[in-house]
Amino acid sequence: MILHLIACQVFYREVSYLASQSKQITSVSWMPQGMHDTPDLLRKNLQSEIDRLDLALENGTLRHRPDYLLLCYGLCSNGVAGLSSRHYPLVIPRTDDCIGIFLGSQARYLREFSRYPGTYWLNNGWLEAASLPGSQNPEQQRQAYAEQYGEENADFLLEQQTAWVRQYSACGYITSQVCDLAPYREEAKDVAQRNHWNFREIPGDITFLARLLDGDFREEEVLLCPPGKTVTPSYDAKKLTFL
Amino acid sequence: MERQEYLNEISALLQKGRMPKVKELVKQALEAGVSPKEILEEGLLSGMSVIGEKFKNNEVFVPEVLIAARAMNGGVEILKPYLVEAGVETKGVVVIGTVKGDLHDIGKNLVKMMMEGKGLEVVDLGVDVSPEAFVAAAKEHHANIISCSALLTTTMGEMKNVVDLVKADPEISGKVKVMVGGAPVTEAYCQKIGADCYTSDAASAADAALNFCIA
Repeated sequence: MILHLIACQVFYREVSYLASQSKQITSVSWMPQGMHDTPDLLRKNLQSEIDRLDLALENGTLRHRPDYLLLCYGLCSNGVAGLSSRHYPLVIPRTDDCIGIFLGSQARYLREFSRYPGTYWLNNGWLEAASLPGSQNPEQQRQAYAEQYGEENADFLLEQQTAWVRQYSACGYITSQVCDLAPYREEAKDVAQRNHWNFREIPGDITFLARLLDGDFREEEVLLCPPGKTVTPSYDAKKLTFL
Repeated sequence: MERQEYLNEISALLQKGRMPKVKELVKQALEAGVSPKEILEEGLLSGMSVIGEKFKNNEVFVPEVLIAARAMNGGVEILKPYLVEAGVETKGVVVIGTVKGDLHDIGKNLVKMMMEGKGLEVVDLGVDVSPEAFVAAAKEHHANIISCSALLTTTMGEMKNVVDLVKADPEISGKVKVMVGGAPVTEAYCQKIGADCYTSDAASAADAALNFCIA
């Protein structure tokens, strides 16, 4: 089987490790982390990457024709909704986002979500690639608001922008089976402290991602969207369907 | 300053988000004999409509809308006693909150301020609001609308529970409309769960809410 992955940079360590161990021919397109905040842009960037691979096939410039495009993404704020490939089946995990993949299943993620609401998740990938809450100096941020929107609005805008941080209560640090680095754990602890959150450590589970890189696609775990069809949110526990 | 100049100036300052100046000018306009209703509708609300339209067209962004809405609320605060005296009634009551499990409220706050700008009374239940709390508040405040917000795909499923609970309650079923919104919410989802209305931005939400209330 030949797999081409389109992967969020947040999976850098896990996917790199698993790709090195995979018995399949694999290749990866890395996409920047953080695009879930702008899902229209995420969709546009993913679709251009898919289009590029479609076109490469049409032009005969691919060395290996992938059997599948595996998207290392969940629903990600509907960023994958609307994607379509002319030639390849798309494989997408039935998860809300990457946290379900790092925790090994959507079911485990939902259990954690309801048991510990207000948890901000971090792991090695997030610490390497993401902008972290509380990392901006509030004084600088305030100053920027004051310059752009006037002194009278600076405190108000800062308050609006950071209110959610006070609503969260914990930082959930997902440990990794492939890359457990002490400095990352310390940094996650710092994030927790800075934002006045509790710190919790939760063991990651690589088995779901490992199945994906082995080409073990299970209907209950992933959507298989045939060529010519369009990925669509299903608005139920399965998260995704195609039209 | 002439009447029209006051109204134009109030609208212009509101659009720039200058709350203290808006408040000051509303006071001056009242002293100059401009009617509270005119100040509200032709100064504050019309200024907010301009910002709402610009937001819809991506000409301004969340901070601009937040500060404009704040300036409007500042002006409305000054006007309130005069409006009550003049017998200008609230146009409807909306109960608003983010759904259970969802702690992100910037969108909800924006919608709230936009709705207040349309002359609606908004009861803000805050974040992490259970379906039961939405329904109880709607009954207590004789609301026309329950407005639910969610930022996360993990929590938006709670909107269905709100819709179902409203439908199952003979006291409010068919009377209280359920509006849904937030980044992951779509028209298709609104239809799937049987909610009454979805809008893609805060300004349209306020328009739709007003339409429900005056219908």
